Amino acid sequence: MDKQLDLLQGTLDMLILKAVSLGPLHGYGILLRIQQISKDRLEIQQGSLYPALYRLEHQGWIASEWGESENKRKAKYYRLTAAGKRRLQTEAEKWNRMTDVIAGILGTKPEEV
Amino acid sequence: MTLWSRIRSWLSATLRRSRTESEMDAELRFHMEAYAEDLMRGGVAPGEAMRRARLEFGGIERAKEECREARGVNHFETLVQDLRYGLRMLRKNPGFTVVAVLTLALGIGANTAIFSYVNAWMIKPLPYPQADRLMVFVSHDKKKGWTRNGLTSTASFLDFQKQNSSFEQTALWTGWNFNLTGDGAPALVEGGRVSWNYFDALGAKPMLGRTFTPDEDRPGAGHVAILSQGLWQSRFAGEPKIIGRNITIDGEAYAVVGVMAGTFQFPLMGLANLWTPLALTDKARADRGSSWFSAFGRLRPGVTP
Repeated sequence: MDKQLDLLQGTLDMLILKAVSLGPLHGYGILLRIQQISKDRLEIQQGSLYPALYRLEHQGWIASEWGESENKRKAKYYRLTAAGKRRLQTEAEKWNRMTDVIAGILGTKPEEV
Repeated sequence: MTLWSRIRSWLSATLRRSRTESEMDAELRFHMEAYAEDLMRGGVAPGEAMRRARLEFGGIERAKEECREARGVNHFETLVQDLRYGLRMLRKNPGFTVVAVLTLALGIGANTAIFSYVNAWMIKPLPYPQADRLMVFVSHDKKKGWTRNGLTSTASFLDFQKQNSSFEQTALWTGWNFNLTGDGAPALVEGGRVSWNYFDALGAKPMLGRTFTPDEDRPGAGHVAILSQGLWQSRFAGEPKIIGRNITIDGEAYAVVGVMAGTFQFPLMGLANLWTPLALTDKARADRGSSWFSAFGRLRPGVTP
């Protein structure tokens, strides 16, 4: 596997919100989904997932409730709230703007200065 | 919106601690088991799978700790933990605890004592009706430029009394020691010689009898006395027929006209037990030099100090 990209702190929150926006998931499922939609290029540290989940729930971006998993066991499912949806949008916009700016800076050729 | 959800989350976390704890446990355990199962599906041995799962999780306790932190419950719990730790440490070091407690007790005790004293003397309002209307007179010598607090001479006082219009009552008094004889062993009683309106200006009413009249404050008159409740009880056994009775002060007969209740304490910090009218002679009235009288007055309503 390629060397994992190191995640910046705020981006994990954004990725979790995105993963959950595609449908409610339990913690492990969120992990798998992120891995899946990143085409296996991104693997989240298991230890940092749950603190992030609790933080997001504390802030009101996601909501949780207990349900049944695929193998009939009790698991806590998370879903995106309306506020969370808006948050995801603004964060994504910010991210895109930031990457544009940084790409522009990095792409500056010597003559352009 | 998010503030409210934050509060709600914090509340539920604090109030239903055991439930949220077990929930957290269950959630993390589910995750680990699911991960281990996936590993096993991929061909790893069960024991190895569990070990790897646990390792990946970085120690379940730490994960839980981080989760708790993320919920913002930490501060209160940390406080409680610190308090418990402090108590445990105190119990372990009894010598230190004793010294600390004694020091605190001493400090607090001294502080309380001083405050009660200051409170009674300076902060609490005087127990007279409309006490803020009472003013103490001060002698101010313009020529010499000094001010003597609370002492004045009779002539100055009388002049002031005649000339001023801001005070509805002005009274003059001086501390005095009386020799009481008869009715028991000779005793030196501290009290005051006062102008007739002394009690009235203060607004203090006698417990028995009456206060002085203007006639009694004339030279030659003034052989009347007012006792304190304490003196009445101690020397005259609280006899009911005290009003009108004669007592012997400085070898002369004085008729008792009133008794002040024990709550009346003026001026000498509770040592005043006997009052007679000043009954100043004309010569005394003209005296401007000796300033050993004190005076006070009650402002007219509406006058500002």
